[in-house]
Formats: sequence, structure tokens, C-alpha cells
Amino acid sequence: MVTEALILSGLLFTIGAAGVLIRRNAIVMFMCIELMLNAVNLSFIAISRQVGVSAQLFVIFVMTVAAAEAAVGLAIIISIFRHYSSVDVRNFRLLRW
Amino acid sequence: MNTAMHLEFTSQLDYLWALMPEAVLATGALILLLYDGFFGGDSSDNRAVGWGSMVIIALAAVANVWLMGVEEVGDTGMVALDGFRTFTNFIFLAAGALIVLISFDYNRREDIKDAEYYALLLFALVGMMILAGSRDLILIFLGFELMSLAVYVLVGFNRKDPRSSEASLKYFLLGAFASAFLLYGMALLVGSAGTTNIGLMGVMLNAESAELLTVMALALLAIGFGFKVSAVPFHVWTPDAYEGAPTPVTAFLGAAIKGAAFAAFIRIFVLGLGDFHAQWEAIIWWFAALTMIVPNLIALVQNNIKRLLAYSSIAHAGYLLVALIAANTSGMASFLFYLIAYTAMIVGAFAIVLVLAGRGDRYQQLSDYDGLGWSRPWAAALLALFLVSLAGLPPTAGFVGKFYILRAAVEAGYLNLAILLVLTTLVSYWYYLRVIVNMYMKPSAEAREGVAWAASLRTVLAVCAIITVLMGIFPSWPLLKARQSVAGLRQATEQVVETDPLTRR
Repeated sequence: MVTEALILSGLLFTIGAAGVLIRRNAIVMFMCIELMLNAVNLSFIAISRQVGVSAQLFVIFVMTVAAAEAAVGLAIIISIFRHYSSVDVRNFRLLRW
Repeated sequence: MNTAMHLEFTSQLDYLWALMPEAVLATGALILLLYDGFFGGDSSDNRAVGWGSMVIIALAAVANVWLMGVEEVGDTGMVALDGFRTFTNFIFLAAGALIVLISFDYNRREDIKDAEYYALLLFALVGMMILAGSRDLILIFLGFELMSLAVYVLVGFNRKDPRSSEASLKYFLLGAFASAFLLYGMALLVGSAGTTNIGLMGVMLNAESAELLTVMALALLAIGFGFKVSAVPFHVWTPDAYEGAPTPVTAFLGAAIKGAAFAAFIRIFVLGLGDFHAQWEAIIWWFAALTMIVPNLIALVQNNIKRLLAYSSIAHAGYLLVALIAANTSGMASFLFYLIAYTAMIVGAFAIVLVLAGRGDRYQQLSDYDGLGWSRPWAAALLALFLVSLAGLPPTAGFVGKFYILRAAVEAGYLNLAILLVLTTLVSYWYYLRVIVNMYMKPSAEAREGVAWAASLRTVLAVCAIITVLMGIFPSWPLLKARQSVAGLRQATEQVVETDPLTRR
């Protein structure tokens, strides 16, 4: 069971990482990051069968942090939308070398 | 005061004592927020909150002094009580105080009224101190995110400036992406070690028969930390975030954030997983080599001073990675020494850039520095001093710091990295000296409005300049302190030193 869960979480993590790299909509990229975090949560839960309660404890903290991150991230996306009227990262080209 | 207080972490109160500086800072930041909510109103000047945060930082420093007299039982407590922690705490608090001082005038000039700025700065400091001082992966993750979340907001704090928002978004997306990698590495590490405690991890894991899971965990952790310390090839966010952020925050990013991420990097890789040196050495070696070569080359063609300093900061991360891969006592001591020196020089350099940029951060091009040596001799002389120190020329702190890193690398048998460090330093002279040549050997640019050098800013510049020069001329005392503070850690890694063929060489 543990191996299967770890493989599944690895797969979800890869999908999330690929999404961040491929998609160009800031909100979708952010959703993919959340998917990555939740994939990690899944592997923590799977690991907790062997490790015990500390891995489950980790999940609670990750969820809390992810919620805070969502609040900050969406606020940043709103603030940039006010300047550009867009959330497509290809449009943000003020800063580059 | 009880000088030999022992903490055994048997009761909850012990954790409060062990986290005294962080508790003082966090409480202070909350009080500041409440004060601003009730009495701040929409006052145009948030100086009271700024001075309040200075007082809180001073109180936290006092708590940190008290913490130096507290001893822990064993070395596997969730919160470390060693010299490394108190030493890095002092550096972070000092950096925080300097940043608050240079923020006063910047915030007034750029019309940043919100007092949350200072509260967020304090929260970021709490995160850094937790990050550098904990021995448990859960706490390290929390500190990491507390620091990062506060800094994402700080980078985008100047909401009227699209550059600031853009920098914030780029930093946030890549930072959160990196956090996910870091977290996945932690998950796999917990899975293979069976514990979240870094102190116990070395005992639980067997380096001779490293599983695939452990190696993957090491690689993912290295990627996560590589993003945070802006190691090449994970450095793409750095120039953008540095350029777009309000200049005091840029100085904060360069000095303290990087230092905190490095401290945790060292705690996990050198202290916790020192036995796995042979496994993680290869990936960190490439990080260090690339991080020294690439930014030094890109910086040669930069024309924006903030971007130039950003690439210089990436290059300095490469030098610090050399200290990390050495993984011996000299390496850790030279890291601490370099961190003080680097904080002084980068904050000083950005303080001058901040003032000269003028309202709306208009003058940031290198051509704006033409003839500065004649129109503003003091500013030019100080900037030249900081740049010379960043370049690593004697008799400045930067030179001594680089020298100690070189020595640590040679002691650990990394002759190739040492040679690379010297060569890339030689290349970097070109772009640092280019600014100095612009200031002294070119005709002056068009006349600009006068800039105000407030007392707080002068103080910061004086402190940074004195540290830069004094540590260059009398390096022995700070180095001795740095060595003493990592001496306690050595016992934990002693076994590593004996078993590791690289350190025996």
C-alpha cells in the first residue's frame, strides 16, 4: 500500500510541476503549486504508517501554511491584475535583462 | 540571572525559554500591528512604528544575549541552543535593524504609509531565526514559510509601482514552487529516516547503504534550497525580484534572507546529513561551480545598478556554497564571518543606491553614476569602498572573508573549487571597477535635485563602512568568535570528519 501511495503522490507532484512549467496563467500556475503541496501531503500520510504520528502532524502544518500561502498569493495576483489587467505571466515584461 | 540554566524540554515552558528572542519579536510585531490599528490612523508618517520596531529588535537582542547562557541537555532538542544559532540570530537582528533604519526615508519618499511594513519585517526576522535555529524538519519548514510569506509581501509592498508587483509575483510563484520541492524532499527524508529530527537522522540513516529514497530526498532538498539561496540554475527570479522590490527590501533579500536559508542548508546538510557527504557532494559541487561562473559573466553586461548588485549577490551565494561543501569547522566559521562582512557591504551599497535613485527610483542606470566622485565625493567614496569589498580586494572584509573560504576549501581538498573561486573573483573585478571608473573618470551627468541624507541613513552608512574596514584590518576577533560558536557543533560532526575521506585529505 505504501509504495502505491508514494508512486501516486510522485505522479501528482510531477503533474503539478509540469503544470507550473507549461501553463502561463498565474492562477493556474498557483493551482499547480497547490497540487504539488497536496501530493506531498499524500506521501506524508502514506509514510505515517511507518513513521508514526509526526508525519501526520507535518500534514496539518503544511495545510495551514498552504492556506496562508493562498491568501498571500491571491493578494499578489490581484495587485498585479490592477496594473496589467491580465494574469498571463507572458505580459509581465518590465523586468528583464 | 541564572547563568547555567539547563533546558531538558520536558515541559512546555522550556520551549518558551528556548525560543525567547523569537517570542519577543513575534509579540512585538503583533503589538505594533495593534498599535497602528488603534492609534496610527492615516498619519502620513509611520516613524513611531519604525522606532518601535527598533526597540523590539533591541529587546530580542537582549533575549539572545540571555540565551547564550542557557544550556540544553543533549543535542537533539527540537530547538537548537548552540553557538551557531545565537551567532546567526545576532547577524539577522543587526541586519533587520539596519534595514529598518534605511527604510525610514525611503518610505517617506516613496509614500509608503502602511505600518505593516515594519511588522512584516519583524515577522520575516522571526521566520529567519526559527529557520536557522531549529533541528526539526517541521519547524524548519514553518520558519522557511514564515520568512518567505512575509518577504513576498514586502517585495510587492510598493503597490503603486508595477515593477514591484511584477517582482513580487515572480518571486512568489518561483518561491512557492521551490517550497514544494523542499517539502517533497523533507517527506522522502522523513520516510527513509523515520524521524523529523535532524539530530537523530544521522543515527537512523546508514550512509554506506544509502537507499534510492534518501538520495532522491537529498536531491530535492538541494533543489529547494538552491532556489532560496539563488544557486544557478535556479537563480532566474533573483535579478527580477531584486530590481523590482523597494530598495530596503532588496538589501534585506540580499543580506538576511540568503543568510538564513544558508544557515538551514548547513544545518541539514552538514550537521544532519554530514555522513552523506559523498552523496550530496556531487550536486552541490556543480551548484557552486555554476553559481560562481554564470552570474559573474552576466553581470559584466548589466547597466542597472540594482541588477548588477543582484548578479553580484548570486555570485556571492556561489562563494558561500564553497564554504558549505567544505563541510568542516573552518567552512562553517568562514560562512559566519562572510555573512557578517557581506551583510555590512551589501546593506551599505544598497543604502547609497537607495538615496541616489531619487524619488520614484528613477536613477538606477550605471550612467547615472557618471562623475559622482566629483559631485558627491562622500557617497562615491563609500560606494567605492563597499564595491571594493564586494570585489574582494584588500584591505576590506570581503577580501578576508574570501580568503577564509579559500582556506576552508583547500583544507577539505577542493582545490578545483578554490581555483575557480579565484578566477571568477578576478572576472568580477571588471564590473565592480566599472562602476568606480564611471564615478571618477567620466564627466558628470546632468544636474539632479539634491538628495537628503538623513541622520538614520548616515548612521547605517557609518556602521557598515566601519565594519567593512575593521573586519578587513582586524579579522582575528570576529573569526575567533565564529570559530567558537561552531566549535560545539563539531562534536556532532566529529564522526563525519573521521569517516569522510575528503576531509582527511
